[in-house]
Amino acid sequence: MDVVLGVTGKGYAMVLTDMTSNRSIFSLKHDEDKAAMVDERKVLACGGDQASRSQFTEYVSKNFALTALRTGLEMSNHAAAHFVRNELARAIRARGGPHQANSILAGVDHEGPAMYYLDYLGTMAKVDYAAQGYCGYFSLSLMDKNWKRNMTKEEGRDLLLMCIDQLRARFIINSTRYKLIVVDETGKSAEEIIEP
Amino acid sequence: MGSRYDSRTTVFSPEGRLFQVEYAMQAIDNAGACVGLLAGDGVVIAAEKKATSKLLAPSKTSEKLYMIDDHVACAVAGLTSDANVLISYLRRVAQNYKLQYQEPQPLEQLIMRVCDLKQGYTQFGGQRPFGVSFLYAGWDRHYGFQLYQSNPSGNYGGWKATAIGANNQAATSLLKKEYKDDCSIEEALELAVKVLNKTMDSVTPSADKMEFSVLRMDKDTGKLVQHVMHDDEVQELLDKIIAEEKEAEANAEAKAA
Amino acid sequence: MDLLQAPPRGLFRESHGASATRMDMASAAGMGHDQMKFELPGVQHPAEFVSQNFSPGTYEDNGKRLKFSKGTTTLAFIFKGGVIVSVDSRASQGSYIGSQTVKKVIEINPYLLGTMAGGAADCLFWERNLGMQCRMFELRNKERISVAAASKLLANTMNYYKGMGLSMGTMITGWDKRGPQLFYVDNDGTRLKADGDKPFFCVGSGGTYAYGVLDSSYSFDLSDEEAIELGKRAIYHATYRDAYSGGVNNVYLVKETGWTHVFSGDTYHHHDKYSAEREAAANP
Repeated sequence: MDVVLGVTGKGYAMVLTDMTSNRSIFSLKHDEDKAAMVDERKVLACGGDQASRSQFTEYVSKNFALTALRTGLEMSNHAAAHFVRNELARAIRARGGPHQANSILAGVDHEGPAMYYLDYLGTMAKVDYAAQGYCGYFSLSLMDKNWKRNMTKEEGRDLLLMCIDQLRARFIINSTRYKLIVVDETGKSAEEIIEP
Repeated sequence: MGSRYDSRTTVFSPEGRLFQVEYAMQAIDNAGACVGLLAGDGVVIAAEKKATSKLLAPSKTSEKLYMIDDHVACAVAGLTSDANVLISYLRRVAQNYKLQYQEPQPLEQLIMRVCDLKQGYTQFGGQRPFGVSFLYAGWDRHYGFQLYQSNPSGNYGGWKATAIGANNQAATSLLKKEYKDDCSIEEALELAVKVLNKTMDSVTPSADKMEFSVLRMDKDTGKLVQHVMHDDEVQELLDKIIAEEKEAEANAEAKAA
Repeated sequence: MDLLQAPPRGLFRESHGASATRMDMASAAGMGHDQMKFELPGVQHPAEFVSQNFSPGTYEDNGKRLKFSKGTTTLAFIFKGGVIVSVDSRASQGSYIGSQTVKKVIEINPYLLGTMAGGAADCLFWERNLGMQCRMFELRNKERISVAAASKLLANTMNYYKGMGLSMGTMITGWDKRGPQLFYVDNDGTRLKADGDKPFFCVGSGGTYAYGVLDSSYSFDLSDEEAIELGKRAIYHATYRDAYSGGVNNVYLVKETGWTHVFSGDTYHHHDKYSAEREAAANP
């Protein structure tokens, strides 16, 4: 039921997540981070239960840090996404079971911005924009209709705000707060809490 | 010549030396020479094939030069059987990396992996070290064209030009004298021939005793190509050099006269 | 000398389950046989009563031999003066009240408190285990463990046993270098930090009612007295509405110097006080 959305544009990639943490009929938290920087210029936005989500995000970011220490090189978006997919695919047939984490990996590297859709089964797709889970049913058509190549950051943000409006109008679950993270060639360039 | 400290690889001598490792390196100093040169637009590696017997069927594939992956080639000096093991290890490592990351492995990471393996045999239990030194020619998007060398101790380093195998000292001193930064591949090839001539102590170089491999960007497609030169290409190269030398000799004689 | 041998500890994974059974057996064996007495329910057919009320439900606790003690209200919040922890003390097993005097605040060490909701045995065992790990940390590092780290240890344990039937919903709270801290940890491996404008959690079947009071009356700038009063009131309203919560209300206050047990009183007496107030307010 998490909201996990992402858009790429001219020289940047941005992700939007909701900030609630639920258990049974409780909404326990309204300031939860569901997107984390896993590298200098890569963000991983993740849906799923809190335990799997944080364990998976930590696993990925610690492995990226180790790779950076070992090689002194920045991992490409392509390589990073394949590493993450590999881990998901390994886990699904491993004893510990799959990582219950559906994610969007977005970043900027020497080839520019890139975004990857990854689910817990090990599916991976390189995309220009993405949505995970139920929020996709409400927002993908909007993104299909309105996404343009090389949008400015303002245009990208507007598109995500449009998706939030739609979710609030038609989705049974109404989130009160969302977090937007923008990554460009300098790293995390903006972080904003949106309370529509 | 033996001492109490040379029977096991893992024991230091009182002077702090590992004799088995040193012996391995000495063994390589008698092997056919290999030379590598970093050019501005590519990398050249060349090797001397030691003639064993007239009766031996010439090998169908390269004896001393191997392709590890599309972006890495290497030349071996030392025990061929040991080298085969390490070559297949290198290929496996490179392919595993590609499987996991879907992009070619950066060169130094690959070399580090095989050197970790080599190092293990200088420290752990009862087996001899690999009797092989390597030259690696490669390209990656981080540092472009690169040339590396590694030896049985597990040490490795990056070079502009270097040589391993028989007479490598003579070879390196010639390289020191004649190597020019940012030279062309053609110039590098010529210098490689000269260096091999020196290590082989031969008066006339012959095509069937040398192997050359060139790694470069294809001018038309912009893609990386790895090319092991055919016999006729090698012959052409040698002919050119012989002709140049003759001309130089003639010029020198004319001057003297 | 056998006596010098240390008893098995729960620190190592493989001995977790084993040490639990061994401890139970040891305590049972230590009791004199003449003193051992098992209270029977005061009904005509005790066995039938037990099977009707304690056997596994259709989906809840499926496959288990006994129902866990589950009904609870526990809450904790951070405020200006530290952290308030307020809990009820009823242990219910289905519709049966197992105990009215359960200590649901577990004193892990002088600076750390844990609350108990879900399976009483699981909470108690794993929070005692956490206490041991925290002590080990202190001995190794010559400083107290942070609340963040302590709660992470517990979350890691929960993650390791995920899906294996543990039942635990706890709040770990204390005071460390970063000030007053509060974390929620449960048997799914979830670990949440209380921060932002509503730095509190309510856990248990009465939690919805407690949230109602806290959400409407909480302020960071409460005085110690006001905060204690809010803790009491939230538990009172929960015990009033939730049949599975009740008994004694225990309130703890966590300060820089460690926790203190500031209040313990029967919620039944709360009712006399608060219902009169309520009555007066509802009929002006």
